[in-house]
Amino acid sequence: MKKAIIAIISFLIVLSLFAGCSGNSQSENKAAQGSKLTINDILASSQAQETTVLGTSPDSLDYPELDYTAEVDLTVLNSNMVYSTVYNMVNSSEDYLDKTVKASGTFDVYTDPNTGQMYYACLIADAAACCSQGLEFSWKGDHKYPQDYLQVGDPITVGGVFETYEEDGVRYCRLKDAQLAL
Amino acid sequence: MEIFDTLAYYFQFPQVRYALIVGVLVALCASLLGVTLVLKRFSFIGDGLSHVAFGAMAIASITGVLFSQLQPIIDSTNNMIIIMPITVISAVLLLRTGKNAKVKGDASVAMISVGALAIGYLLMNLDVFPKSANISGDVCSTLFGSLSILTLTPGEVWFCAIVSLIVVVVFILFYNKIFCVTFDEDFARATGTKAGLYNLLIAIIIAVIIVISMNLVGSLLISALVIFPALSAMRVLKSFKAVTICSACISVFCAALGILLSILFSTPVGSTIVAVDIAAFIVFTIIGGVKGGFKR
Repeated sequence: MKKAIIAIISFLIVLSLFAGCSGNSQSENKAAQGSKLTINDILASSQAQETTVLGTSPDSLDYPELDYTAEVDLTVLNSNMVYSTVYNMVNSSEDYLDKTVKASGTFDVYTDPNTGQMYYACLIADAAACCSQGLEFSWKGDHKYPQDYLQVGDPITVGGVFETYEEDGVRYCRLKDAQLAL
Repeated sequence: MEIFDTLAYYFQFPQVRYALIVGVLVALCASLLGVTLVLKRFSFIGDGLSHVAFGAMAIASITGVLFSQLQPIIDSTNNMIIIMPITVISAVLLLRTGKNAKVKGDASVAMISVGALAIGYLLMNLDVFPKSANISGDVCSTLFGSLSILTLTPGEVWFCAIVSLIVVVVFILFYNKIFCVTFDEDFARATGTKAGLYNLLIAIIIAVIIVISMNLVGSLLISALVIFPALSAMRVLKSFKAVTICSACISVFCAALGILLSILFSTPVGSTIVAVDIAAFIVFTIIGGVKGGFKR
């Protein structure tokens, strides 16, 4: 009796696994049949693609190359180390002042609702992707947003000199004279 | 060799050295009391207290926001001033519930555990925090200790080192009394040992360990750090002293290996340490089985 129950449970598990696999292959077939796609399918597929890009950890993204030699090169570290190093840079900024820093992450923009001032940052997520650290940068040269910049969420590599500055009594960190690989 | 080169490179970063030091110290302290907790059937108290510590952390965060003048004393990284007393008081209350209590031991642990967790999450989601605050990230980090161990400051390392030293010294000094209270509380009481006092001492030490462990593995995984090394050691050894020493060695080894693996392979630190602890438990179960025959 016991063996029969185990056999039935095993059969059900195998069946559910096959059902899961066939479900995936069905959706793949659906995606391949471009002419038969509905609006909902296209929307669902574009949402899925967007989620994949934004949710992917920095390790697995293919970042562009930037010809920039940095004293603190975050591009050679894994996502855990990058996250913790950026955290330390923000919290112990005096240890990193005037050092050249190179980092990879995703591009992000913040607009101050009161002043309209725009701030550009390279966002770096941790391994669990539940926390992220932003490294602000000011791009060397004269550039206008949005035409010269990337779209929010695009992968970016940035290199610049680490500095701190104060605004309304609050100290912030950023990379000045930054060079970007778009 | 590439792995050793990578490790050598990563050890140039202070946060990696801090993580290893704190990880080893916390694992050592947690394992010392683990044996006592398992034998006293208090395995789940660590889980309950860790949830209390989470709730206390939420109170500390909200206090820091509401009373901004307290910010130099209570901020997001230095809120032990609130977490520690609340957790210690809860530990004392949980361990004091005797046979005649209206709410019995396991029910009181469950009640305090889920109550504190719910209140903590409720407070963290109140509308008092700045819009830019990453609440879900903070909750995730506190519950699962995703990377908090890799973001320690030298001050926090010193705090942890001093607390760990105190815990180890207290455990060594009162080893015989803790041993008596662990095995037969009634006999200890009959022979003149102040069992209540030593239970209080155990409760305070547990609470302190729970609070300092939060940085390493997070609230939800602390129990694993306390229980797994003790259970692994019990698979192969029988005497209290041998199990305690073996448990400490297993715990330190697993914590160090877990931290190194998580740094190398970029996995969440807390869950990697617990996974190594589980692997050690399986290995010790097999060794114990081979030595003395498999039992339930």
